[in-house]
Amino acid sequence: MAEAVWQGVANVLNPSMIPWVFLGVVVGLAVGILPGLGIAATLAILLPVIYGLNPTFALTFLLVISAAGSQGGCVTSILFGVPGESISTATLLDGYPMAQQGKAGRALGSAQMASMLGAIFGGFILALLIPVARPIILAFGSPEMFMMSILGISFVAVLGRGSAVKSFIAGAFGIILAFVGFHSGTAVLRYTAGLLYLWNGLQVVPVFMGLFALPEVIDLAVRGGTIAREQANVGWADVWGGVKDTFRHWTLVLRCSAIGTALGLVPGVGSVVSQFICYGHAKQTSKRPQEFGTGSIEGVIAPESGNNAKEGGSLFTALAFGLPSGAPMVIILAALMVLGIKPGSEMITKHLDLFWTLVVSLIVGNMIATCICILSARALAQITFVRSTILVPIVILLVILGSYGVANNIRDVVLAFVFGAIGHLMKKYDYSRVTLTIGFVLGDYVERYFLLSLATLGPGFLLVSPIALGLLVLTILGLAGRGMKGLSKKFFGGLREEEG
Amino acid sequence: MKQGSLIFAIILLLIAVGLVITTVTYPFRTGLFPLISLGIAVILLIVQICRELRTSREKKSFGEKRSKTSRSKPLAIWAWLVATLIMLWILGFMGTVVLLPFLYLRSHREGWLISILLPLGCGVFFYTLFGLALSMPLYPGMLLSRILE
Repeated sequence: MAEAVWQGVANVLNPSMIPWVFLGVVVGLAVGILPGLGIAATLAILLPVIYGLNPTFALTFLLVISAAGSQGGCVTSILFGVPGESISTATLLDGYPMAQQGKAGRALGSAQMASMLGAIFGGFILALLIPVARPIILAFGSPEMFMMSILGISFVAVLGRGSAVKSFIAGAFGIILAFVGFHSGTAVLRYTAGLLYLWNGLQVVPVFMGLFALPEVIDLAVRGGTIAREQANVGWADVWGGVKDTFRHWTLVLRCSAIGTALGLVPGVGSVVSQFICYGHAKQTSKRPQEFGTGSIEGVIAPESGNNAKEGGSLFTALAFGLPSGAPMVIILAALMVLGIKPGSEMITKHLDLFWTLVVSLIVGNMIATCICILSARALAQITFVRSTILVPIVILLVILGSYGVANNIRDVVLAFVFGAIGHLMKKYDYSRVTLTIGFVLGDYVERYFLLSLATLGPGFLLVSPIALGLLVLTILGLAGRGMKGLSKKFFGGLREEEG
Repeated sequence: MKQGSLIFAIILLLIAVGLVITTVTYPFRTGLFPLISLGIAVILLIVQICRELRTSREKKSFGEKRSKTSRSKPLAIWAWLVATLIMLWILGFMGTVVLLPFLYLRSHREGWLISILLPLGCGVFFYTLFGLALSMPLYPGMLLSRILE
């Protein structure tokens, strides 16, 4: 084992490997920063490039692109309110308000450091998991996945700001949006209005682009001026302040990294889900939950650490079991097969050195990406002081590009604009877009795993799984805790008013 | 604002009711979860509408007139967004990448130099990266498609 670890470190730090790692970081950051250039699509485009390459070089190159890509996504989320990748959507909820307050440097610094720490955590957990992961992963069946989705949906109670009724309405509509398209369980088309385009359901990226980015463009155009409403000199001190903030909230980083890694281990749970669960957890456990959505640093740290920690978990299930957690891992698995390596138990027995090379490259790739982003954060933050007349058309183009790039389908751009209108109205009338997103992302999982559990284990499916029961208890406790918090707030608020 | 919020809630209720009517035609297993979600949405929307009605009655006397500019600016940007979609449909991806920034900058009285350089820069950047480097099929637009036919 120790020999394999050392071999992995030596492989990544090999002078002939370093250029591939750097190239991977640069490509990955570009892919992450620019909406429209998806990580999975880029990996697929680069698949022919790796033919004939040494398998270690090729896989490291692809993995580093994936790692740096998920790290770069937060840059546009923070600076423009446009998610560079769908996995960076939760970061914009507090990152963009921070940019509006002239704190883009601090937000970028903390997002990058949280990403790096998350990736390191995920990598280490991945290493420790080798002997024990098999039974954990195999324990996750449909009842556990159903309860996991219910636990995620229960965050609707936490994530909304302002009126709880409006948050739940938005969450319910989000769930309905998840049901648009062909229902594989019964072969029935739902809410497609006769449009062939809707048979596959609503694409996540255009929906997110519309809901989050376009309302910000509208606001920016109406308000005029610059993104940063408050004039501030962004210096190294701000960026460094963000880095220090991450260490100040080290328990949050650890908790969200653990959540991210655990969700990464579960096949089929994408980063889109894990970022919101981490965000919800951060808000639920924060001492200042009211600051979330208005520029809370915890709201930036939580999703970023969870996102990158997830990579470690998903890499493990992909390599050890051949079960991908998302599109980028599917391409990495395809690359393994192209290179003649079979994913599965052989990866952690026969090819342990390659396994460790990939783990180390994941960590090193993230560290280099963090250094580049932190070094350029000060310059990037200056974008928030550019006039809105110049930024508005560029951001509109990024939204078009981001929506179009998913499937090269012009209808996705129209969908983004439709959701732009919905997002604008929701923002105007104070309906939570975050809870709508939670419902949209998890609605399908809840239904699918419920029906699957019912079909395979019968109506008492929750009783046969201790993990599912544990998750049920956790959900109830979370909701009850939230309810108690609300009641005590009302009670003590009332007392204070009476005293006043 | 309150009036608008009330109208928005009523529209959402009408949509939810319309979806319930559609959903009841689905088989039980297909319609179960949508009906649960829609049921919750309908109940909460009724609660919300009652709240809005109550607060709008209370605040009626404090009604304020909105200035013309507060309405015209959002309308103007929405007009731009709709025009962008039409531009995209007619001129395609590259036409929009160049024309949208140019027209937007000129309409906001930016100087000629930046109004020309920025769209050209966007055009070169997007075409080099997506068209040439990644060979992404950029939507050509209705006009070019017709001409090529």
